[in-house]
Amino acid sequence: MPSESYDAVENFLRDVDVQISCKLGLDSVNEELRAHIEDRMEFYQEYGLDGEEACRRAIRDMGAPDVVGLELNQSHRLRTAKPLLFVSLALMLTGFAGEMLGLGISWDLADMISDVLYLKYYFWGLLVLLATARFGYPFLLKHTKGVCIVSLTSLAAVGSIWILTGLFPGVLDKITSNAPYFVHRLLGAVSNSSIFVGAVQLAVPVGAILLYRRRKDGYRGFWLLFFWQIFLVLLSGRNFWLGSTYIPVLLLLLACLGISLYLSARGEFRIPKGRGMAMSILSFCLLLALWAAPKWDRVKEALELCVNPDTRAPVTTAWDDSYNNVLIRELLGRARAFGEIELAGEELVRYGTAQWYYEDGPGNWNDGRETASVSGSLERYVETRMQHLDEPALRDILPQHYMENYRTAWWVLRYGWVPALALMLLVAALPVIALWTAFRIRNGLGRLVSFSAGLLFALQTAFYLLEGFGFQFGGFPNLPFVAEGFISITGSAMLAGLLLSAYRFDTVLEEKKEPKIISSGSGR
Amino acid sequence: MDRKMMAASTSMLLLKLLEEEDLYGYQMIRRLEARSDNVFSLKEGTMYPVLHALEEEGAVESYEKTAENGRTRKYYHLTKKGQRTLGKKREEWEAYEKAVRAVLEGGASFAF
Repeated sequence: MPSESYDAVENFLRDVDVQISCKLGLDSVNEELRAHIEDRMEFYQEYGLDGEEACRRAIRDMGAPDVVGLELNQSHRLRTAKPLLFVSLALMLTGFAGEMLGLGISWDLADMISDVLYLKYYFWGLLVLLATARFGYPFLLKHTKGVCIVSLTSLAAVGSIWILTGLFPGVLDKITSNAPYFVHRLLGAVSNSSIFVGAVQLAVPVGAILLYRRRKDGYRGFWLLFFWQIFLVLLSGRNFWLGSTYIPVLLLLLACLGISLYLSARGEFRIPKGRGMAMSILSFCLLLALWAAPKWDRVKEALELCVNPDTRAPVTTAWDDSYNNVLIRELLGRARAFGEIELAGEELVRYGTAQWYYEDGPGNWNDGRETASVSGSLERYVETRMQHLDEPALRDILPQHYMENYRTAWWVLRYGWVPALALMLLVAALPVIALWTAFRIRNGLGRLVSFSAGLLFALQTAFYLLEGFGFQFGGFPNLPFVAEGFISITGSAMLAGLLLSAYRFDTVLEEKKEPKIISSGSGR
Repeated sequence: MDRKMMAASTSMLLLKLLEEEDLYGYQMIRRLEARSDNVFSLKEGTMYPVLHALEEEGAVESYEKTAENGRTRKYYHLTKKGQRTLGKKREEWEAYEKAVRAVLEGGASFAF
């Protein structure tokens, strides 16, 4: 193209760009308009016009650049997923308020500051949410491969630490004996099984990206996702006996199943849809078997505890979770529509000490071989409770350290069914709005990452609500933004932030795809 | 053709073209001109905001292909939502056309 023509085209594009307020992703818009002008120039040149005249006419045919720019400005702009942002913040506020109430309201300024500092992870969560919403998707687009490598390396590092501490107990203490305090805190967090929930929250979108990047390579994407899940299931194995990884593993497997079914149904793979779906289901079944088979007895016990806790409540090793399931089901049946459940003082004592079940009720402690009073853990529990339950309150009935797990049940008992259902509706709104937002995203990668986030929220919420009704299976998942810890709120905030970010930049940033070469010339 | 009338029907016409096959912007302009005997000759740059708005609505999706001459072209593909939108727009247009024709041809009779 002659330099005068080149300048004229670039001037036209510059005049268009001036009218577009969001300057991100303008290269793509310019490229499209430039290609159009060049096509039109070729057309005029075929009719015998020289390059300069062809260029002049091609630019004239485009219309006034300011009008084109102003009209493009209507669609080329950043967007805010307001419903999702509102629900996330409302849930965060609800969770924070719940924690504050749980700590007990004190109007003393020093106490309030102390409580707020204790709950600083909520402020951290808010920061992560806003930062991810602002920078998350552009960063992911730019460093997709890097994100996968860093995630893999991080989980491998965590796995190595777990294996090391498993094989050589105490070795880390020796190595880090002179290390600063924060190193000990960090290693302590990494060695804790509760980190696994956060790991899964971040691993699922990474798995989705791995599958998406290889979706056109036959079965390679499926294999990558399959091995990614195996890797995580093996990581969970270190703490298998705790049962606290049961729900995170199920979250992982179900979310990955949903993701691969979704991509199959959309016809994103080169293989037929039906085969993709069959592969997804087969992978899920194989992974489920791989996870459950080695410790089937324990998984079966957890299932029994969930479905029929009466059979597990008398067994010493699992009595507390089983008893909680029994107690929750008993009390929810007596809750009112509005206001606190009505229990007489004597009833509160009987519930608070478990006397109603183990001594006066059907609870047959240790199959009747010993009474509750001579059994170690229950005896300690009952005696400790009795010392503090002279004038018991409702809060004393549920074990205090489980309050975060039974947040919805607590609302039913404390405020009544109607307020509790309002809370549950708000909680359920998060996954519904998250998925609704995800389906409005047009960029493939952004939509898939957002879908995986929405799906995770849906699964976490479903498991939590189910367990809150006395159907605990293994451990509780976190309830996004409402019942959280430091690690899990980081995961939830990153998921919601990624969703907000993918939606925000959807119309201005496009994922870079390898363009296909076609035999061209057609169409003119 | 009057620009306002043209603008109102541009998105429907573009969707109709994409119903048949995936096209890039310049191809759509040429098809419109050819099929309408140059009646539909809009300012070409103004088609892209319409296409981008349709993409934002989810009525069309885009992907890139590079031609042999090295020029990267952005192709548009009609989605299922776009098919529904096209159906709706077509119905609206037919109702509008019928009403205009009725008025021009002397008007419909009304019962009072």
